[in-house]
Amino acid sequence: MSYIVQNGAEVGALAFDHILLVLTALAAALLVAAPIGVAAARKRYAAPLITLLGALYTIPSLALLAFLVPYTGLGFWTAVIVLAAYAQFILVRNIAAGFAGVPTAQIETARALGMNARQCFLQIELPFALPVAIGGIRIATVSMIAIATVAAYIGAQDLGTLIFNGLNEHYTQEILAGSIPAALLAILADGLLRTVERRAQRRIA
Amino acid sequence: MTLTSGGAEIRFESVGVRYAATERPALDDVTFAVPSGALTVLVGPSGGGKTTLLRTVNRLVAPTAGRVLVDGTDVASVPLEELRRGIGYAIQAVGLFPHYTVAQNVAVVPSLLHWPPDEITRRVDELLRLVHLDPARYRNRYPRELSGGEAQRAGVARAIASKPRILLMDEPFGAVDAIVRRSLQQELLAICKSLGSTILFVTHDVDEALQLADRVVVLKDGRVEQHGSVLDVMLRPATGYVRDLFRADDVLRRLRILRVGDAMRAGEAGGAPQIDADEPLLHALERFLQGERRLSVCTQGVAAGVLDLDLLRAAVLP
Ligand SMILES: Nc1ncnc2c1ncn2[C@@H]1O[C@H](COP(=O)(O)OP(=O)(O)OP(=O)(O)O)[C@@H](O)[C@H]1O
Ligand SMILES: [Mg+2]
Repeated sequence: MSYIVQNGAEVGALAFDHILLVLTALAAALLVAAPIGVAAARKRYAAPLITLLGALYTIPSLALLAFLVPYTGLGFWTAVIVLAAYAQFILVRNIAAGFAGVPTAQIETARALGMNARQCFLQIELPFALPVAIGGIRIATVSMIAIATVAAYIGAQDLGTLIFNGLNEHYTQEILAGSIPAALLAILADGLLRTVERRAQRRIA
Repeated sequence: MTLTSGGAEIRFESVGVRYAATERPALDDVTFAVPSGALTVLVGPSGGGKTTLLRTVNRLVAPTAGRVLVDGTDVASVPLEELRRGIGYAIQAVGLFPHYTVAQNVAVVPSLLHWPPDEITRRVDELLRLVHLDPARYRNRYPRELSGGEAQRAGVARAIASKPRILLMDEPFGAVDAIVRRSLQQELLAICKSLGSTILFVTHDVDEALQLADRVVVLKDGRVEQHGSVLDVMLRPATGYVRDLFRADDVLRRLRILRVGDAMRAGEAGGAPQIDADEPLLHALERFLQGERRLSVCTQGVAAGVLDLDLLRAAVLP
């Protein structure tokens, strides 16, 4: 623990970078996954699409990073792309499942009362799909916090930087200074999003 | 206080619905008219086509043959959302949106119609009082905090919120247990009737519905078995099925279901004790057994006719 105590400011700054990286990647991932997920919930091509994203998910993160570097260079944005790509499978799958699971009777009632498709989507389908979608965001976020440490290998500044430095210098203290806060971040994010998920679930119960 | 803009007439013209080309049609050449402001009850066996027929009115189902007219206009030619916002719709079970409060649920259609907020608030309170839910207690509750009966009341309040000219009710009280349902159904139907909307009401509870119905339509295998007044289906059942359904041979049932107004003859009975035209004939018989010879029949306090034991007998033992 002595490393963390002596280098508190550095660890804190890297933890902040770590969070920033994950949040940016999450935002980018959602921007892509939300429309795909919503479309996949309605259309026939949902199953093959989700299988395809599932295949993407099985590529080792390091391999994907190495593959992207020649095109996108080293650093933050390459890490964002890789993290966002990993999150796609979980996000699309859960968003699609969320929207596919909206009770048809609720949708029908909304339409019968005179809501148009957009009003029905925003006022009824979205709240019903939210808990499962948030479940996807939670799992995706936790995995991204873990995978983000690997992204330090291609030059992204985050808690993984400490781990790789520690590995190079055979300095266990520094490895722990990177991995313990990363694990704590993951636990924190999981707990926080679980609470949000439960709230959303209770709303529609 | 004007609660509705009056009822609209609904006319079914040779309406047919086929869900799948191979199956027998769910509706087959259905033709009848629902007079403006009347309460028409749809009855018949499960799978007979009641729900399907109701849904052709607000276009949840599109007829594959014939057409549905509201006040002479083909519903297919009216913009969908406009049509639906003018038609109240209450169904069994779900209905209420769980993430909306009672007030928000009741306000759905007025909000879609862009009523001013203070008018919506006023209207919501008025409606909650109408269905006997104290606004102060219930306005901000969520559906999960309501009993089954209270939820049905809120559902009816939502269906009538925008003063619809047509009210479609598909077993709206089916989820409530039988004892509560009887009185709830009667109470809420009476409220809806008083609004003047044209009501199409689907139920399995034949007896209770008959006590309020103006017209009865029996649907079986997608066809109209009989369409007529309560008196018609009770006394002149068109088919064996209709007779069995209403157990029309049972004199006691006739006494309970047929109303004073069904048996009276026009005229004056100066000085005779009064009875309301909407009371069941059984109440009149009770009065005769107590020694009355003639009753003066009135509707809303105005003398409308005369009833004596012979007229009563003629009605129940034709
Ligand atoms: N969406 C649908 N797709 C295919 N067939 C349907 C559909 N809805 C109803 N049907 C069929 O149409 C027929 C009439 O159904 P409908 O729901 O109108 O009957 P109902 O009189 O309302 O019955 P119940 O009293 O059980 O509610 C039935 O044979 C039913 O199986
Ligand atoms: Mg039905």
